[in-house]
Amino acid sequence: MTILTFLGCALTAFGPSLALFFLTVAKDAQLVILMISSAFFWLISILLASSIWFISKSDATENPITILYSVLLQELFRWFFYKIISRAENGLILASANPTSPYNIPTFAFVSGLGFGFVNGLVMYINPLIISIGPGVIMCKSCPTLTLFFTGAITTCLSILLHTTWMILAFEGYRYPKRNYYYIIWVLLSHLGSSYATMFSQSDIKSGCVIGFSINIVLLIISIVASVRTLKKKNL
Amino acid sequence: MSNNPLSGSQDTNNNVIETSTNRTTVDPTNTTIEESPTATLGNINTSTLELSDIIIRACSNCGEPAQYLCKACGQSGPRYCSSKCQSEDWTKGHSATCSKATRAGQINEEGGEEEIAIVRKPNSKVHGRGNVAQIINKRKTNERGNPIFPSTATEPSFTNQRPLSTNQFDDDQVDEFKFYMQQIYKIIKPVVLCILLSVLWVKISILAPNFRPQHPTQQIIDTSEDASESAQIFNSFLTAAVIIGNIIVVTIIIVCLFKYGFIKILIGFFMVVVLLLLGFMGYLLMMAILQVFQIPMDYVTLSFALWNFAAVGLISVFWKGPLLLQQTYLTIMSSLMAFSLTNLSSWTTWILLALLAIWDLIAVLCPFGPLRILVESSRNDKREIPALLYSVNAVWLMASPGLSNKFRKSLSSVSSFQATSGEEIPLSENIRYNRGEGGVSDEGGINCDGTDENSQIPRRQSSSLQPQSQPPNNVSYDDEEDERSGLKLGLGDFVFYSVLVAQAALFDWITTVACIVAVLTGLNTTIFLLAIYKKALPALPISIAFGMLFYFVARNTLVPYAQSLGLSLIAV
Repeated sequence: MTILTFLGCALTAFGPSLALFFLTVAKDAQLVILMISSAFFWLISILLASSIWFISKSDATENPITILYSVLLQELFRWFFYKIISRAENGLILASANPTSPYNIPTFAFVSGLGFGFVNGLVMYINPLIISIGPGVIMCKSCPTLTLFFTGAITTCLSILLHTTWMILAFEGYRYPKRNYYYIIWVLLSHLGSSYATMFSQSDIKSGCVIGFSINIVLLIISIVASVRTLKKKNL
Repeated sequence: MSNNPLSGSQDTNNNVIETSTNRTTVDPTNTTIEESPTATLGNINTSTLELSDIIIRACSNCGEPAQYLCKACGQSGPRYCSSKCQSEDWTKGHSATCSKATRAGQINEEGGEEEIAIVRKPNSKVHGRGNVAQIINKRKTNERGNPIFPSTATEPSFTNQRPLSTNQFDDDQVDEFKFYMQQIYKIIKPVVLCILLSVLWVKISILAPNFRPQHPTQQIIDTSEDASESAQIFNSFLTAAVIIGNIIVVTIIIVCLFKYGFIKILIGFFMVVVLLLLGFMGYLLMMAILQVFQIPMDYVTLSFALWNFAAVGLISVFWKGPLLLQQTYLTIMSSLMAFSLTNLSSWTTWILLALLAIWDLIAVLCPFGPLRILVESSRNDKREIPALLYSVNAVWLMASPGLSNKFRKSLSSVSSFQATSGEEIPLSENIRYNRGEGGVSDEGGINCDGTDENSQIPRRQSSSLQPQSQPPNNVSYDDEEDERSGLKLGLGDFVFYSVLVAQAALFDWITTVACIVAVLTGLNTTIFLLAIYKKALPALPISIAFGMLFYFVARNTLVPYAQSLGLSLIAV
């Protein structure tokens, strides 16, 4: 039961993103390096957020405020990462597998988003995952038939995919010649919305976790459609 | 002692050696940069080049005997006698027919190089070892006043082709860039594997405390939790200072031994250390695994398995063996070494890592640093530094002072030959990253409670990333150049990265993940700096700095933060 829970939750949480990784990123050295660098930037942002949290000695009642500054810091570092990538863009494109393809920058964005999301999922979820090997369970408050591990796994899976799409949209939005503010605002708002939606999972609302997941899935679908449309525009 | 690689007695490529000996006397004009009397890689490479190039071709421009060729066209292109003729021929029409100009993308060029490189492979000598963790930039070698490259100095003569030449120049840089990226990727995989293995051993050994490796200094200096806080820190500092003192002493001894040529002593010593490492640490680890997983096993089977494990490791690292096996053994040895260091108290480990980072900086960058002296003396004498190095393409045991694994040319040539057959990267056939085996002597120290200096020095020896010295500026890609080109990372670097992450793993999984990302980013940064500065760089400081910073911040702030958010199921 315990190893089964571990395997099931691990594959639920990281399965789709690992599949994306092994199919697209693992063969290309440049993309792997980009992924590690974006993971590094996310770590810096979350260390800052957690330092603020630590200094302010917050507890669970102040979760909304915690979410607010964590999300803002993450978006700020997403922008920093974009600035660095855009500085190195020419070199990166020249060194890529297909220098003349118009899809290089979206590829970098995709890979960076995967890196962001992957290390986000790892840091936030790995402790419950390892605990699930042991004999005990913690039940989810709003959906009492689900364990904390499983709801955490679903949340992690969705958040990794969301980060990937956010990065693609953010790169599209931050591009210098015509900065598209709609994309930037969408990324910020949907990140906030997705994080606040996960607050439903441990609330007292009945079946709150379902509400949280559905909001996240809707946001994910809209973001995916928007990113695919930006890719289509490249194919001029 | 003659460090002349040609006179290596253990070399199995005697025929090539003799040929090159003959060559050096016959062909003085072809060796461009390296003209020292000691048979250097350059000579041999030139000689191998000569072997395949026996027909004397005429210069396409003036008809004189020509020895250089167009880099892009390779063997099938025109020959030139000087860069002046090359520039003239370029304007006369080679620019239209040059394979570099006509190729779409860089495939041809890489294919050409690959072709050339593969042709030369069988003749390649093992010289390429070079220094611990050096990267040789093949492109760079050719760029340095190389007549085969259509230089931008001839730009005024073909104005309409200026974009082409600047593109070509950028292409070289781009290829260099790609080369380094491939190297980084090839190094990251074993580094991550070594780190994960060390974390695994540490987690297992926590559950089986009676089989934890004991460090000799722990019996002398008490760093247990009983003492008071300040006494604890002081004792930790003392322990760390003792260890690093050992490392410094062994490093200096190794440098002296290398300078005066006692290579055989070093090799023998390394062999003993590796045997002890695999034997004793393997024994401790196996006992811990058996205890934790409650596997029933009798001593006969255990000793048989252990003996086989150690013997195969010794053979594959020091003699011949499949490349994958060599790489696996080096990874396992590094993780065992790191495992042996995990029993130090946490303060000791962090102080030790910080001191090591500082020592690495001093030893590699300062003019009087032992490792820098080592690199320079090996470069000047064209001797290879004996060290345990993990190579992507070939396992090179470099003779490093203190490291018991001496590299043998036959070994490397065989392994490099085997390596290239499976190598998919055309540019970097000789990318070798050496993992200096630092911990080897530690093993000996732990088991016999004798000196643990040996292990420490080897570790120290190899903890620098260095760009490989440019081989003699040969006309085409020599095997030597190929073999020298490549990333070399000392095994000591592997060991200390793993020590850092294993120590982080003792606290929490979140710190493990954070430190892994930090160490990998530090490694990326170091290699990029290497690409920019092209000189030997220490591999430890940046990674250790990032790792320590992330560990201490994450330990205090990120872990409770993630715990609090995780319980509330909030995804940030």
